[in-house]
Amino acid sequence: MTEEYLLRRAKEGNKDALDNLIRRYYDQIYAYCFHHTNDSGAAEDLCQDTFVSMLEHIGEYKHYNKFLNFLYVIAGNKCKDYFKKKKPIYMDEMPKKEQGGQIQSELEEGIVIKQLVNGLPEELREVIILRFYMELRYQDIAKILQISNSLVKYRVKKAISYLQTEMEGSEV
Amino acid sequence: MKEIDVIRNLKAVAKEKMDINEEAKNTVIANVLCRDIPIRSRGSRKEFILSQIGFVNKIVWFWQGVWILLFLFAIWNGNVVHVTNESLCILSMAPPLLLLLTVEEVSRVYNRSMLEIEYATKYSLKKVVLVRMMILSTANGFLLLGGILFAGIRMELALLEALVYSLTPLLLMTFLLLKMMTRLQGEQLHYAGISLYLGFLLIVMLGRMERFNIYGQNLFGVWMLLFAGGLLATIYQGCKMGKHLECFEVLAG
Repeated sequence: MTEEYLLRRAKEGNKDALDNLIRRYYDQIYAYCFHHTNDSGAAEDLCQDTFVSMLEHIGEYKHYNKFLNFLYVIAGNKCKDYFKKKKPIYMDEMPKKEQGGQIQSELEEGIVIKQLVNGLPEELREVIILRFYMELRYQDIAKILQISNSLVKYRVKKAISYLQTEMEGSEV
Repeated sequence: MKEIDVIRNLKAVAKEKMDINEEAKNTVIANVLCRDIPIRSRGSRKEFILSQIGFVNKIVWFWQGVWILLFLFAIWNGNVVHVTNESLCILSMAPPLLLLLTVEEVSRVYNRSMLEIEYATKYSLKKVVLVRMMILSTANGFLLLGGILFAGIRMELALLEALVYSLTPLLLMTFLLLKMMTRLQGEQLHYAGISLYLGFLLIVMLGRMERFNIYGQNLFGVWMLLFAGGLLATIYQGCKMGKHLECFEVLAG
């Protein structure tokens, strides 16, 4: 079944179409929320909130070509709300070079990079998650964040150089 | 560490297998579907137009009110009981001023960071701009018609003459502002509009002098031609703007 067909049926209130749509995109939205929260329980809750919002607004949704982008926008807002309620993570709390050899081993497992990404400012973290974790194109990220392509590229570059500096610091 | 290593690390995180709890997934889906949420539609056309009226900045309505009061005051109290070049000058220069007061409101929609662009994700940008223009044009139309009729009666001027003398500068200015609107935004458009208006004012002020006498009966044919030309040019530019707005939708897609 095509996305257009499912959306049309879902807008009519067809539960099977809604079920199908949610199942189709659940994994991506879960992964997106998980990359933001690093907590499977929170990711599931955010997923649920995202799909409830989707249900509320699906009648107003105008389909261009990617329904998933619309879901990412909702999920992004839900994640922002989640972090507003939670204590923010600051770069000072990030593991630093004094942890030495342990950090080096964690680096191999990708834990440090995850923590560093979590410590990035919100706008930079968002582009990193969408670009590298969710593997979206610059064009799609620009649409989701409602910013220009060039600004997305700039933020990705800035985030990478930030991570690079932090990781170099961890290596020393 | 090189940039490529950072990217490789990030991609490695992305490739990590994510354990999705199927039971939790089914629970989430069941929880979502069991909620009896009424699906909101986009609303009727009437609701859309009414909602757009609410989006028009209140200050615009205020200035429109001020404009009509000043116009009526100028016609009522000024030395315009008989048709003179001065009275016709007021009739020609007042309508473009009304346009100038409202043009920024329409052009605001071009600015991508505005709230309207979010609104335009529900309705097409073209619809939002056109409905906004329609609302303001209707309000302006009523004000102008009232003002022109009042002035025509007060000055004992034929309706056709009153309409031609007042609407020709308005149409020409609408055409030029629509053209500018595709290139300029916000403050820039505002200042360009003011400059344009001052240009018109200068022409009319010079033209009313005996030497040029643009309000002479022998030049009424020229006014008619300008009126027709202005009308056609405005319609053409309006259609062109419609196409330009469709490009925004292609980008949005």
